[in-house]
Amino acid sequence: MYGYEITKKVMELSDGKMVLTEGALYPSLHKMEADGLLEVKMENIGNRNRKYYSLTKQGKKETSNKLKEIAAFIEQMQQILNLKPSL
Amino acid sequence: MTLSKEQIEQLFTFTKKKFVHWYDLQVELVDHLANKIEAEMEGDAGLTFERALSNVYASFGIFGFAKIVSERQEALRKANNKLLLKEIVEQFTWPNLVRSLAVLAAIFTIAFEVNIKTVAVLTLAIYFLDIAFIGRNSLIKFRLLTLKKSKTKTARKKNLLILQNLPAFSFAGIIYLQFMLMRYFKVLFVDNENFSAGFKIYFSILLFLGILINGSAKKVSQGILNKAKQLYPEAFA
Repeated sequence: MYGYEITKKVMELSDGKMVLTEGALYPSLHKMEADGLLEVKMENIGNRNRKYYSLTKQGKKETSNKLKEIAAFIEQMQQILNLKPSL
Repeated sequence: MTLSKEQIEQLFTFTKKKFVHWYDLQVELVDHLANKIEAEMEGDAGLTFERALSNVYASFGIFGFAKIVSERQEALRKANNKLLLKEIVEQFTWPNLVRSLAVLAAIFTIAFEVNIKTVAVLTLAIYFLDIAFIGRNSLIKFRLLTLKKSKTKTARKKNLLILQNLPAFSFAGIIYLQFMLMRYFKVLFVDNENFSAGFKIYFSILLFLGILINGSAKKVSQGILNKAKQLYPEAFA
């Protein structure tokens, strides 16, 4: 996926509730690329070149770990929020 | 709605005016601006290119491209240091370990069995290689090397951020400088072979570190340069 496509996808999947700004997106992509979580390739799309990002093997592993962390966090939050006062 | 080649060129000029001096970053930002402008102009037929560009740039916030540039520089600096460290550590893992130990053993043999002066001469050679390597990386950084002779002027304008921090480890230079001032001339010119074993070991390890760091930095730099050539061949054409 390329940068603009990612912002569109986030907006689409969140029904327009989440807006990923360029100032947040590109530094994150560049950091993940530097950390070896993303790999890049360039493609010519006619009048310009486009940079595509994809997850590396290490990136896929890290994604899976992060998803597990988020799931565990949400579960803990639900347990806390579902607490009923005993008195 | 697709922007024309001239409009894309205008976007490159725009990013340069906004202090994005590096082609690799310009390409990404130009594509992003172009996508957003195309979407805006599709949604409003009366919207001019200039007006759409102004709207789109405003969405980057008050700092514009500045944050993206500074964080990209920082990310690349960290990544290069990490690559260099990884390369050095790899020299101590199997099977490279055998080669590293063989080099170290060869240096010790020269220092103890042949002549400490030979180690001094080799150290000086590595020191100059180190300086030459730092110089080479600077020439690559300022786009004076690795360009084909034709069209160099156009390609030279395409500075690449990815090449700004090629690892040429000056740490080796610092060690040698300190060591040269204190010890080098003594070893090379004083006609006295009675140096202690400790001194010979210290001397040999310095040479070993020089070879190790210089070799690793060279390999990592070449890898980054190859990646830059693969991703942005037009900047080397």
